[in-house]
Amino acid sequence: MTVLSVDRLAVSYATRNGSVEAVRDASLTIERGETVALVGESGSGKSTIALATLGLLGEQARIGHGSIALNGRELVGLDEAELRKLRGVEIGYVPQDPLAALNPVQRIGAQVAETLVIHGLASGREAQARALEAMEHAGLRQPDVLAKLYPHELSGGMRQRVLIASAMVARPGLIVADEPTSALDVTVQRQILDQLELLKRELGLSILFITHDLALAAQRAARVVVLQDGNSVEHGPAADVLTRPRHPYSKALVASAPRLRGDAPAAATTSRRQPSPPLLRVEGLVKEFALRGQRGARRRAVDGVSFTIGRGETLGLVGESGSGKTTVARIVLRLLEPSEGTVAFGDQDLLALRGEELRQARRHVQPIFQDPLTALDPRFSVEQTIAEPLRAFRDGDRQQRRARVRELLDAVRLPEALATRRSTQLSGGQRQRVAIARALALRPDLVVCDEIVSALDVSVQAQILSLLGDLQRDLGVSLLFISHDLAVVRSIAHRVCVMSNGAIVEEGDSASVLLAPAHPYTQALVDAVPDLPPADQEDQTWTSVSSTLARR
Amino acid sequence: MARRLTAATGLLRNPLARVLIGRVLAGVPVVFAAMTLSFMLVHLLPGDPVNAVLDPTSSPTPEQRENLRHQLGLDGSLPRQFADYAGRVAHGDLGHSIQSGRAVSTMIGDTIGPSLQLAGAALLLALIASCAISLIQVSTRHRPIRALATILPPASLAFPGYWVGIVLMSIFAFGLGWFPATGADGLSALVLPAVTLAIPATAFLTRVLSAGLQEALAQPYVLIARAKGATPRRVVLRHAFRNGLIPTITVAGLAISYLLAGAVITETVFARPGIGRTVVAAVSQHDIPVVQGFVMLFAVVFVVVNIVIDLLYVVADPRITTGRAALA
Amino acid sequence: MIRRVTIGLALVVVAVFVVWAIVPGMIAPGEPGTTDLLNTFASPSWAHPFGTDDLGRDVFDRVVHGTRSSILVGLGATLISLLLGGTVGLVCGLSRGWLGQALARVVDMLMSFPGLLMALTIISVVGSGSRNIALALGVASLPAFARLVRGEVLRVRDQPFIDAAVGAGVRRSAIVIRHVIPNVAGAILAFAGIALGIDIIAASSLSFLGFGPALPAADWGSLIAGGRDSVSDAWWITFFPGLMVALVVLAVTRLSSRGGAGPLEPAA
Repeated sequence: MTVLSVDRLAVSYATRNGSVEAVRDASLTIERGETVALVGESGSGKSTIALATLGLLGEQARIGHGSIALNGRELVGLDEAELRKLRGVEIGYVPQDPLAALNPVQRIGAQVAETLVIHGLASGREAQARALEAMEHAGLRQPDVLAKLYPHELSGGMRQRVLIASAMVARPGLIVADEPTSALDVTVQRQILDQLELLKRELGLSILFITHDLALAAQRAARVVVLQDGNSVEHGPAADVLTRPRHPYSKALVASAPRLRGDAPAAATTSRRQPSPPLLRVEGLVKEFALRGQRGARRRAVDGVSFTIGRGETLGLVGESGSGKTTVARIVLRLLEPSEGTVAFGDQDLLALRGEELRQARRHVQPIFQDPLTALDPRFSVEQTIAEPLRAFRDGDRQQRRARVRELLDAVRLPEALATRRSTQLSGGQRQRVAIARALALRPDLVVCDEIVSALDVSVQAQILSLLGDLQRDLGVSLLFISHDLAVVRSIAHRVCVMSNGAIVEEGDSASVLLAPAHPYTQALVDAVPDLPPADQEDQTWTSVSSTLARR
Repeated sequence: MARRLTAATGLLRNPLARVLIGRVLAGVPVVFAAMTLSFMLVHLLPGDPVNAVLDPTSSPTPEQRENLRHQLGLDGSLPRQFADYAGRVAHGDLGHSIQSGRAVSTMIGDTIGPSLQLAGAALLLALIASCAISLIQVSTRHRPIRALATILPPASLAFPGYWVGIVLMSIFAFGLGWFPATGADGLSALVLPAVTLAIPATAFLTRVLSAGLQEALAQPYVLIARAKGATPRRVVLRHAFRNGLIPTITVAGLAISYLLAGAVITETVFARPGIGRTVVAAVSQHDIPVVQGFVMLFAVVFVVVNIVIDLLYVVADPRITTGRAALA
Repeated sequence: MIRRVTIGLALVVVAVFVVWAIVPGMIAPGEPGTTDLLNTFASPSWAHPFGTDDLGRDVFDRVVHGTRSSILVGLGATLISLLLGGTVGLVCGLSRGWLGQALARVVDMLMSFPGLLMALTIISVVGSGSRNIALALGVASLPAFARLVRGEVLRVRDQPFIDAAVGAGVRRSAIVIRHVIPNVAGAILAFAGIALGIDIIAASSLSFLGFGPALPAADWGSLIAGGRDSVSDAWWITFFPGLMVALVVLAVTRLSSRGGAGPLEPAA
């Protein structure tokens, strides 16, 4: 029995600059008890489709054509009062950001029970009882205690379970989950999705699972629909779409997704390492932070970290949020002072440098940050941004600087015409390339990359990683590459250190650590990562495929 | 003794009590700072205060100057003057008016009543009006009404308060005769001044409340509420309003100080008794002790208001009270 | 569309007032103080667009001649608070030690006093007159600017592009001049526009209370004060000067709120 049927839907938004088509021609169906994944990059229209099924598109949105049928009933054209009756009762919604999705001044119990109260299905004590039941179903222990608390008193994983409970409390037949675990650590993600799967089987739910993560879609859904720029371009059983994609966009998407298992794909170049004295040596690094309000209590963000990086080598530093990896990066960059430990660069003690000496030493260690928007001064042109390090050290006169900027733009594969634009006029991928160009301007020996592709779409991510690999090979620069994404690290790092709670729990060759981990934490991490089946090397030629991807 | 200690620590555990005590303690430096400020002001500004008080054309004798200096507490070294001043203030002695010789504390005590009444009435009107206008702004479908509700409050700030008072006076008192133009005879005399004073306050409160409401409405939890099937009314009143109100509490509290200051002008316009007359006279006559006394008054009002606001915050925003760490 | 119309109107209004301020004699020739005791309390007419007052003086003349004083006082006050308050705020925001914290506390405490009260306190010592009003208001609004600038500086300071500049080896002074100040300027100028409006009104209030320029010179506030006693008979004496204040403030606020937008528009 078909629970949801979206047929040739088109949605546009009226904006100041005219009408924008968010969805052009999208179709999908969900049968009873089925999980269907809707996969697409940012801007593909997947959230719009989700909101359309709930009738929650804003005032500016117009449904051009197409139909949305829920349990056989047509939703397009229904008036608001009718749509309200369905929401929460026949179709539930689980959103992405657990903290912002809960009302901060309302207790948990009341929020879970709200759907029942709104539709008059239960009230008072009965509503509370059913809410507690739903919370237990969602995997929350001691729901009676939690019901009296406020959202900020729960952890991220618990909040997401609360959202699942509130979506399900009125037993709708269909759940629309819009990136429900993107904001969570990968181990928590696994638990939540396992729980959802359990619920689905118990209650006969159908799930529309929206995600940008292909591998996750493959792992959790029976069928997959691929969305590109508002068009559903491919659909079929998960295994088929992901091992034998037919549409060029799906092929490109599958090809650019970084893989954990299998051989490192041709896209990420691993250069040959030469054994040599280490470029960077970090020993016994400790960083303590004083806890607010509690006298004497301290938090060890970094607890005795040691590692080395050789010339021309990429060291990956992986960990979940709170593991301390970013703190380590900031210490190496001398943006933060450690409580203990040494950082030796070549034969210099980096930590002992001050003033002008320190400034001069910065030539050799350059940063690239995560958020491409805030890492570039919005008032600077691309040229000014890239030339800034040269200006700071008076490297050459204006002419020479300009020439060097052109050279760098070329190296990061950006057209020269972009030099006069401001960063706010560029896309995320372009901005990150500018950040790379800036980092390379002084020909540093080491570049510290802090989650530099985490904010980018998968296809753009693949391009940036490939660029970085090429640059490393050509310039012989070392990289300290920090990320929470194991597959990304696998595709670019020679060696890997795994961090948890401020300490390194395992380190070694990236292939051995990530494919055959020794430490239980690493094992749990690796197990939790949804991974695509190994790429078929023959029909994924990188160069021909990359041109079909939009120039981002 | 042990029992007293345990009782005291028990009290400290109550978050409300903790905040109260904390705030009172925090208020002391503010009042102290105000005192220092008014003291410094007299000494830092150009011109000799003595000259300001005495009429230069009457060629005062050196004796008269010395007398006045002594009277103003301006003789002796600076630290000594300050210590004396601080000591007197701690005893509630705010000095004496140069012109009338009356104790400043008495002067304030006599006139503060009607001014507080005026400020309070204006605050009440402003709160009601701003809630109404903001709710209209977010819920109405009629574009012209919404436009009016959005534009009128900020536009009203361009009109000087005293002028608005005079206009209202000429229309409603002289023109229509509904309310008396001056004096403080009963409730009807309160209306025009309170409305005049309430207009700019309404504009500020509306701005903050609207911003708070709109920000709340843009939050994901509002979308979730709608996804549960909530009606727009429920969304606005139950979800957006309670969250949007929180930043408004601070502004409302600050408004009291500003309303009290505005009362000075409004009382002058409507010839109402209150601190207005006293302050204006004191300023034009360079009656420094009186002015210093009023600075202290405002400091105390501010501290008290802040304490009330913080207590309200503890009640309104659960994120503030609970210091419990997130459960794993 | 409506935006353009209102901005156009605002520009026209400002232009008119600028002309009145610079060359009042051209618009309203003749001595503004000329009395005409045969023509007291004449209501507005072609000959006297704003009517005449208790001494038969043409109100329009007096309003035009009062423009310069009324506007300059507000301008002076805003400049003082912008420059002094801005510097304090910059120091607060940039400093990482105790100085910034201490100054910030002082500023916060100063903010607790209504500006009017502070201005009155200052006037009680230095005396009345346009210059003193400007000084008093400038000092009274100083904390507001300081707090605004401090907030903006802190916001910019935390952005990754500042870290990137540090990492790139840019000197601290260069970071402040090339990154911090340009990114802070927009918000500050917008606030300055609003502050100008507030200062013009506050200056007229102080003048209304009697602390304005000495007679026979008059600015709008004192004109209103002068007409207050006769408001039951001659509403125009108080009405028009107040209207002028409102027009100037509306125009200035309109222009400043537009001037804020600029190169920060994100690309489509």
